[in-house]
Amino acid sequence: MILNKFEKKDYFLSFLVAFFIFLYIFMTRGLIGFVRDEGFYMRTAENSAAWFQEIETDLKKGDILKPFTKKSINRYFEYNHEHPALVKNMFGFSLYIFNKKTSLLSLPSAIRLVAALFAAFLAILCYQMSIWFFNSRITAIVSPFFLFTMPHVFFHSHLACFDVPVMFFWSGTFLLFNRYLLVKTKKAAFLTAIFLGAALAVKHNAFFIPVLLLFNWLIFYFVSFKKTSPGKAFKDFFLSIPLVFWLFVFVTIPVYFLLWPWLWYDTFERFRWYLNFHAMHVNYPNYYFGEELASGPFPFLYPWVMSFFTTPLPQLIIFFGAISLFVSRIRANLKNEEGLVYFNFIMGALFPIFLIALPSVPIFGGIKHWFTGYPILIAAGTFFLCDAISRMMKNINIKYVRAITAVILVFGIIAVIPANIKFAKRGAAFYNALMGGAQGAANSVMQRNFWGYDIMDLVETLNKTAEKNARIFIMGGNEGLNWNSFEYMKKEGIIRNDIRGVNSIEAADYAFFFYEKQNSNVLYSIYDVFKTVRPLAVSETDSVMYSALFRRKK
Amino acid sequence: MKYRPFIFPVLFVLASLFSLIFWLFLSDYEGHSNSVEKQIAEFVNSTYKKGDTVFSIPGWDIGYTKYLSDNIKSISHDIADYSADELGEFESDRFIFVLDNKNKWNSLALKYDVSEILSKTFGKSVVILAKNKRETVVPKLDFVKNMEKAKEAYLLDEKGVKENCILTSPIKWSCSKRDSWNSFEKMVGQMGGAARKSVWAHPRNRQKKRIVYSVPVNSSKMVLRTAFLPTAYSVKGDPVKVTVFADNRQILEYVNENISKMYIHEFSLPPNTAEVAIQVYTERDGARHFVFNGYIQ
Repeated sequence: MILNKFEKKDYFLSFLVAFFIFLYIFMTRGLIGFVRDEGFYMRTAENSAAWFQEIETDLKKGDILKPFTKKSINRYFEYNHEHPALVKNMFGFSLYIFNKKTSLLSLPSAIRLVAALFAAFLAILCYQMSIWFFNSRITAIVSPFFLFTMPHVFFHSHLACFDVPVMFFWSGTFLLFNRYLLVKTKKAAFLTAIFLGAALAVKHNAFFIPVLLLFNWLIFYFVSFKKTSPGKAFKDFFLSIPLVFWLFVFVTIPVYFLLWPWLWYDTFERFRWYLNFHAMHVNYPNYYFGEELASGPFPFLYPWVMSFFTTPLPQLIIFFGAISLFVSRIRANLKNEEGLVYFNFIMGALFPIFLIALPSVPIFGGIKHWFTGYPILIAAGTFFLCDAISRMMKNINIKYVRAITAVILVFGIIAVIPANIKFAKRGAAFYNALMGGAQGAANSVMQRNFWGYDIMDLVETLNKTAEKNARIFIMGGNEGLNWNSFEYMKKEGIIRNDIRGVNSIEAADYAFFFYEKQNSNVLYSIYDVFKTVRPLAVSETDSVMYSALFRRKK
Repeated sequence: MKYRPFIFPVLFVLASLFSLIFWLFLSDYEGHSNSVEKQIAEFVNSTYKKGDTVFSIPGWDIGYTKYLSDNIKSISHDIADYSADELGEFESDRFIFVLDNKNKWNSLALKYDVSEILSKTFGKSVVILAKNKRETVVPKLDFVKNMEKAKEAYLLDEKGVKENCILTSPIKWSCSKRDSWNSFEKMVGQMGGAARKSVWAHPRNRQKKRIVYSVPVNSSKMVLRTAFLPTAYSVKGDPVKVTVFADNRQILEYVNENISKMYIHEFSLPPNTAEVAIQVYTERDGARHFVFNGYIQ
């Protein structure tokens, strides 16, 4: 197997596709309200922007080290230290440049710009994988569109959160590692190790990557590669360990450390706290076919079934195509490194789902916690489709084959546009046609939505009708909005600036209600306290209610 | 099995075609049509009498409620959460079912033992005024509805020292100036996966928390339901011990584990009981969001 190279036009084309995806995500940012977690990360970005400001100020004064002292690091990085800093610093830097320094963008837009940037990176990643490993330009061009017309991916791509960035770093590390296996250069090994360090500095999911890659390599080593001279098994084994694994220790860890200033002081204590925090993470209840999954053990099938029902049908077929491609190529290459390459890909794509399937692993957050390998499946599956079309028409002129392939692929994308339009404001609530769409999922009592963001269909009525200084119940204690996200929506002008948020229905003139089955009692409390069952506005898709706005009876 | 290259592209095209048709024409296959929502609401408004309960079926389509009058006091979008017996505990034996399809009626009528009094069709939707065929339970004392009329509420520390709770509003007995959550308070809680009117009774650790109700004369039966809210059992905290006293004599005690299940106890009261006290206790508080409801008959 050889690694196919980028041609000049590939640089241009990949940039074009990425630029389109960037615009597609960034220009539609106003469709989606701010999710609870964005409230935290936007606040973190403000801290980070302030740090960049301090660096600039202190540099001008010639006090180069001051921003990096323990006092300064504690001041700017203590808040939200349950997550590493790379993406948060990118949010902060974008805020510093595009809002604080130049006022080109509003505060939330400057932060969400980074999210759109990661979407563009993912488009490049799909393009690269398609060229490097499949030598298929049509796959390279089309696969990003399949990825970003998945309503869940489209939704998460807008958010100032870590799920799409870690999707990029997760899939990207597998891509670079496989590239290293084929080219075996020091440069490729260093690049992979640095990239993994950055991945770790985004989210803790990445800790599984080196373990998984080592596990895969060990399997292939002992089953296929091992060439042991008598009495030298130990030495041969050590000599066979690829350079990149050593660099995971000597390069990745320092990169990780450098990218997360919080760890620069009290390193072990802070790192231990971080690991404990995630090992003991609470679960938030999720509904799954009428069953409330509040605490473990959770059903093993949960993430598999959820993936099956939350992926649009054309992409679902593509997923199965990718798995079929990987399995057939692994079987055909069990004795060589090509087999390991495809084994890494399938593990990279499916391990995140397997991990969440373990009964003791919390399942809150839905598919965003296991979609990190989707780009791998999309690129490989799209190639498998193109390849199957070519084989099907092997006796036909190549020009016609290309045209027919293009027509089929474009049709696949067109087919998912209506679903994307229907769920443009609430992609996290998407269920596919096999589930019966929004209504089928609601009838089956699946988790309808989460994260308290779905207010874009409600705010126009609120802003028009609310008296000056009106108070609105934001459902903060019940997975609705949180204070930060509410305040940032005011800053962005989504909610009128004089409207005040409260966390008690009794103290409110208006109330947001965000439906989750486990919170349905809040709706009845609103009815009771407001003395009305009549909503002022309802946010819905195909008649299924996701959130509503109420006003106290005067 | 031999690999046939055409299978995959054909599957892809069929999946795409099905997806396109579904989302363009078929995805809005249930629920009320927008054009009849106003008419449905007008009919409900004119039919509703004090004490009636409106059931929306399906519960996820609440579009028609935008046109409901403020006279509608009781509405539920979660009929599946109730049993036929529980319908008997509603304030009145009249129910208004707002159905998106008449075909759903027969199975509902059978399941909930209700009979149709009158109905009106609006397109595919139908509104049915129905009556409960079972005898309605009329509680002599409802622990939630009559909470403010409780004789007293108080805390008992480990030494047995009593600290009174104060009725600060018609919906709240405050038991601590410091902790606003330390109270008995009317709320709608998620009990056993369903929204139910209940009394918040989150206990402080190692402090017995008690509410005492005067028992109406000739009462013989008590029903007590207790449950943790999802905010409590999702973090797997400690259980709560529930004790019921009739005229200071213990008549029931059980441990409510910190799980999603709603505990239901139905038992006879000793003859001529004058008062019952419901006591909750935990070794360790925290996310101990605990509620109860029930009645005396």
